[in-house]
Amino acid sequence: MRILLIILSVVVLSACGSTSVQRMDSKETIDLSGAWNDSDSRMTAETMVTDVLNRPWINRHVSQKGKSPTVIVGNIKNLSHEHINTNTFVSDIERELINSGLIEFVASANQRGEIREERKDQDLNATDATRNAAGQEIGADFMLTGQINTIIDTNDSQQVRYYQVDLTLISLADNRKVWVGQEKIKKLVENSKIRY
Amino acid sequence: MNTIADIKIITSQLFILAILAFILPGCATHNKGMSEVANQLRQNLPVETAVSKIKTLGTESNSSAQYQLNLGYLQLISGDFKSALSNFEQAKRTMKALDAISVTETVTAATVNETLTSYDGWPTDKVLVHSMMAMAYLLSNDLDGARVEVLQADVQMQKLAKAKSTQGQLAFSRYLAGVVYELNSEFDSALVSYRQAYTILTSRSEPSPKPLQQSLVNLTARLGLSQESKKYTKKFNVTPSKQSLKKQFIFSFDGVVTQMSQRKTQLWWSIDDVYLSVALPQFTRNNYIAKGASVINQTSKIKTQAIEYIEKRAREDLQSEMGKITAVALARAGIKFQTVKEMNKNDSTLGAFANVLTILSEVADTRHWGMLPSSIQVATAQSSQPTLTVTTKFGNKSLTISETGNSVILLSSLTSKVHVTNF
Repeated sequence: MRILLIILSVVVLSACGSTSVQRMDSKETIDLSGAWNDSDSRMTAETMVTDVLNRPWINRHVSQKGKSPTVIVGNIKNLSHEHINTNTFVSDIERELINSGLIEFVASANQRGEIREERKDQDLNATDATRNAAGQEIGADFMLTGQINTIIDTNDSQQVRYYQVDLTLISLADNRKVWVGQEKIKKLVENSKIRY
Repeated sequence: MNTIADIKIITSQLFILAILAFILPGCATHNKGMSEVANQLRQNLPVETAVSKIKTLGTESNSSAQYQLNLGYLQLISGDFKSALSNFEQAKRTMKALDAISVTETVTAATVNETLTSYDGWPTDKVLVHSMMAMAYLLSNDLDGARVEVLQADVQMQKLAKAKSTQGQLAFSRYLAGVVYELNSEFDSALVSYRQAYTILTSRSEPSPKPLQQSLVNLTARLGLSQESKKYTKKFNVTPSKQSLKKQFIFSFDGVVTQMSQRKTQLWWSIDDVYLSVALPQFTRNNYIAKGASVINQTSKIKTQAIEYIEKRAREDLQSEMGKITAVALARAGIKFQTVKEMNKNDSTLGAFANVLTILSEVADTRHWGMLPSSIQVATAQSSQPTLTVTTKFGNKSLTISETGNSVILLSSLTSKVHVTNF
């Protein structure tokens, strides 16, 4: 009968609970499931930005062309075991590189459609003084492409999750790869074998 | 004569038993409702009506994964891919969170019954949820999303194989992975997956469907594995098909899996030298007869062939757990017998009442993913024309397919809707 009492208590108590919200610093690292999270995205972006800004390709381009390199973001393929939103760390990288003043970005293939539509609309509806003409876009010098790969090894309660992010900057003039960045993240995830 | 203390104990015991008697039927009734909907689907209940009925039934908190799996599957075949993905994702998370053994639920299962534990999915469910999500992503034209799910299915199958080599190993999931890789032009990975599907079928002594045979022959030839290609060509009597032609991958979900039911049986309890009545889950006889669909292109009529018999997988899952389920049921019956005996000593009326309640509380856990098809069938066509005709029990339907790329087509025996995505 004591067992029955315990069970009933458990059934009743498990129904009790409330929602709590705690605000925190967006740079704080919190790992809940071991899956790719905002911290991985941010750390990958930081590593890639530091690397890309300290390589000779920028100076070489400036000395050859007399202007900052212009980059377009191409396809960043998610080949991992998770549904990863690559846009977050790509926009982190974009922001840091634009703010560095050393690199310029142009709208990606996905973004420019909307811009062109707006320009067409301006052509019809905007005043001459404010209208932006077609055919004035800046052609990119380099395209940033990449992929995220994972290797997962698992047993009953442990999992090793290995992420490898590869980004490549390719010259649109001659297909030369001018920079290859790589970031590796390895996590050991241990799940409890027993729960309450 | 009873003292006040005795009366208090008896009253509290009675109270607890009465509460349990109220709680228990809820879980069983809810599952029964699900099974009834599944059986009605077999009798031509429209899928959309079944979705409404399932939603009306709602879910017990400890059966949320079962509810989401059932709902997700029906939404998938009715073409509501966004809702299907949402439900499958939640089910996946719930089942993962329930991987660990619960102390309280183990105690509850051993003392009251197993319907009070959380539904964490059978091995087939744990793999198939990824494959169904991959289907939903494919039909939403999200090849990357589908690729993620086939990778997750692979991890899950590896994990299950470590526990028991054949458990949760699905030829359909491997074949679907092959299709996803092939659509992504990753032909080496596609071949690996097709080989794995073939190995699973061979180990079960089940025939491999023609599309799988054709894919093995085509990809080994394409990748320059001439010896292996010759071996498959000879074995299957199939020659490599033209690489230049676009391909249509057809999947057909046929029937509704048999519903798990309860049977009462007597088991010997040696501690008290008595036979005790226990409730155990079972599947009734498998009366399923596969019915295929057909695809007609400009040159031929191609019939779908089974790659996975869910009827068999569901039975295998239950069979592999039966030893454990029976042992727990017997131990539980023994505890209940002792409790009734103890109460009987205090008060014979209370003892009799407790006896009735323990009999009522002895319910088998018959929860499973009951909306699944009885079999999953596949076919491939290679058509250079912009249309393709599919023939199902609902009649002929002309489909517009990609003129330049490959297509994925989903059919179900439960609905006349045919879903096509062109890549």
